[in-house]
Amino acid sequence: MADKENKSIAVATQGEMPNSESGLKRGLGALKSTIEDLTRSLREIQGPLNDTRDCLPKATTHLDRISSQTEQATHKVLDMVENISNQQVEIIDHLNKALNVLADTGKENIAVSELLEKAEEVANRSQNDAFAIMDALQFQDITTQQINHAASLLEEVDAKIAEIFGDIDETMGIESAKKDADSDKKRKVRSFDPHADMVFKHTDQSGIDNLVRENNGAKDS
Amino acid sequence: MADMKILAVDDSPTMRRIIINTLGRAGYSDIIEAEHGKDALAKIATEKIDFVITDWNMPEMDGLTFVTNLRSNPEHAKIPVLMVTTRSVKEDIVEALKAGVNNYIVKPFTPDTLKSKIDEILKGGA
Repeated sequence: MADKENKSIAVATQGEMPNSESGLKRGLGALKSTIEDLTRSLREIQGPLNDTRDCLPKATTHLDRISSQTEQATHKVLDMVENISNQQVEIIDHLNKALNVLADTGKENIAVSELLEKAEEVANRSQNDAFAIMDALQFQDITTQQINHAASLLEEVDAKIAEIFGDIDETMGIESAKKDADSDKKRKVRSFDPHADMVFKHTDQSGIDNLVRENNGAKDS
Repeated sequence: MADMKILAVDDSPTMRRIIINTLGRAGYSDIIEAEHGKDALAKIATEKIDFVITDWNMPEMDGLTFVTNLRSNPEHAKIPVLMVTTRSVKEDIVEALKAGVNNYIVKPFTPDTLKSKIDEILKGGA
């Protein structure tokens, strides 16, 4: 009974073999065709993507130039603000001397004294404004960090595209069109805080002060 | 302590200039500069520095590594360090304090904050 069953299974299997083999062949053929289509499509978009890759270094160079020119301009402003500030110091000094000269004459002239004192007040306010301009120029460092972050992201996109097409070319046995295999080595060293912001701070100064106190407390205990 | 020698460490020439100017207004005039942590360590090895103001994100050697190196050298371990950086995430601040930073300011800073934090450190409050 068992022999009979085994024989019938064997006959059935032999009978199915040609069908399943041809089905498998058909399936593999379809898969091969799909992969070829996919590869062709990928190779078609490789041209435009390579054009994009050509643009990426230009974009990062442009961003670096913006940083450099902003820095130069900021230093020019700093030069001028420092000059204004020094001149205000001179003005205040002259006004003080004038007040002393007036006092030395022994003749009281309230109107002139008041005018000189008011002029000194204005000079002091003007100097404080000059200092405020200088403090505001910290934006340049923060903007440069933001620009460096953007440039770094562009460089990363460039490297990823190169990697993807390098892999496809390698798989297809085509000499890689990937340019600058050592592009990582050629990359400019960029140091930046990706969260650098002129206005938003994750932790404000009072929060930082609390952390400093907690840390000091932990050290003492 | 207005006669103390301060080392300002920042890769941004603009920031170094603003810090030096702000310190000048606060009465500190003996200030030297370094562009990054390595440069700072080299300067500390050759000059007597009383106080350090350092950025975090810098090429060659960042501020955190610089402070860690500084604290590991018994000769310079006690130099007060104020970190002035854009990094405001709580975990970063805690990491800097654990590395040995005495106090911490987030950019952009005001001259009053810079002066008060220097005063706090010198008084031993931070």
